[in-house]
Amino acid sequence: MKKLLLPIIFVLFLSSCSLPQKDDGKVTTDFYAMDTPMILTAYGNTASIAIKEIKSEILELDKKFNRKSEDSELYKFNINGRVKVSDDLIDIVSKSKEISDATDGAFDITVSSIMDLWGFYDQNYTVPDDKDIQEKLKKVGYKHITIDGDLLTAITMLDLGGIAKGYASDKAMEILQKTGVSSAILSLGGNILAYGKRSDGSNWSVGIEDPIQTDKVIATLDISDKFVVTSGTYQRFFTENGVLYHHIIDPKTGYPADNNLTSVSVISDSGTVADGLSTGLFVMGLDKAREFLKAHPQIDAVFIDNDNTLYYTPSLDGILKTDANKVPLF
Amino acid sequence: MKNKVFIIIFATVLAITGTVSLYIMHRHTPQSIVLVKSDNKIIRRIDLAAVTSPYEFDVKSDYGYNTVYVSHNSIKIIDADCPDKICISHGELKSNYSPIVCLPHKLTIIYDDGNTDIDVIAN
Repeated sequence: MKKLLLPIIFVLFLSSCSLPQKDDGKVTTDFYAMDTPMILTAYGNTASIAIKEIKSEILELDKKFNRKSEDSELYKFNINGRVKVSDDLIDIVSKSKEISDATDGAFDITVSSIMDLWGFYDQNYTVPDDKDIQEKLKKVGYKHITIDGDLLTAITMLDLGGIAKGYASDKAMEILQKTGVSSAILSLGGNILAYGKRSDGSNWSVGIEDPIQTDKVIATLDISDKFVVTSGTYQRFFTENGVLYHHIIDPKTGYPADNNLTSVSVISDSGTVADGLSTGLFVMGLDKAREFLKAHPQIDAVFIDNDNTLYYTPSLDGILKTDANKVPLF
Repeated sequence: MKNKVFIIIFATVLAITGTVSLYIMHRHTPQSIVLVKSDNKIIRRIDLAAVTSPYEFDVKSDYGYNTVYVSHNSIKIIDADCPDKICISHGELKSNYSPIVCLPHKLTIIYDDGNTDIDVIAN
């Protein structure tokens, strides 16, 4: 009888040790910043400290990077074109230039005048005259931006909308690490940081929106400690004379990138890189992006075309789950 | 010998029920309570599972109006005077991490504390 007590105790121990804690220390907050809703959730004893600090950091960055607010550093820079700025602004512009270099200018923070021309800022959508586009294009180009210490110079206005949320999510991860949070899921306007794992030890499940039926998810990614950012034509667009014009502008042509893609999701260890590349890879199109991703194996991506076929980097095998047609990129 | 068999059966049953209990406790079940927030203030709390007949209501603010359509386990915005109508094209609420948002009107519809199989949506 005594011999049999041991296995019973062992079974009871197994059953009890993995019981979920009823109070898992979940802390959630949601608020508006960077022109989009932010939803932050963290778990554990230090979750509330971390969430408070992350919210404060995002709001602080929003004050600096807001293109429309007269009090922001970026606004002042865009008026003057040559200003001493904060470390954060220097840092984000430097990183933007690096991504521009890596993508041969497919991602570029100097396209704001073109975006404005198309009405993507004030929703007064219009197809501009080609002459106007060509005129504005003369000042588009990340190589026009120079950084000398804390002095930032450019001949055109900058728009950090394609990278600021990713940059903020990197800052958020630093705070999670510093405060000792082991599990968190953050959505900065759809830019995702899946940090650690769920409270039951499984990976986070990150959905990719269906570009055609946007109330549905076309695929999921089972991941942990990764950033996921999606750029899609369905996010901002207008139609004129039956033609759809979306907001992902090719900096070389001044027109919406036209390459049969509807959505690009980038999975990376850096939020800034994921954010910049989701636009950059979209503009590059499938063929150029394939070569880029072969040369950068640390980055994963999922492309969706007009037929809702998914093209994905092979290392996502077993991670990417979908009922749609899927094809490995290489 | 009889005792031994009994204890083995007991231990097996215990292990199976423990595993099933764990699964039930851990699984992500969809929540049905949604919050309608205007300018970050909760203006309505709706249990979608309890809705038997569909209905509509308007949310009016200084920014404009949105018409919200509610039915059994479903909520969406069907009309609004915002310029981009992104809130309408969003369709039904599907995850607590992909809220229905009307940015120009500062209107958000979100699950109260939803757990779904999908934790978050990249969009």
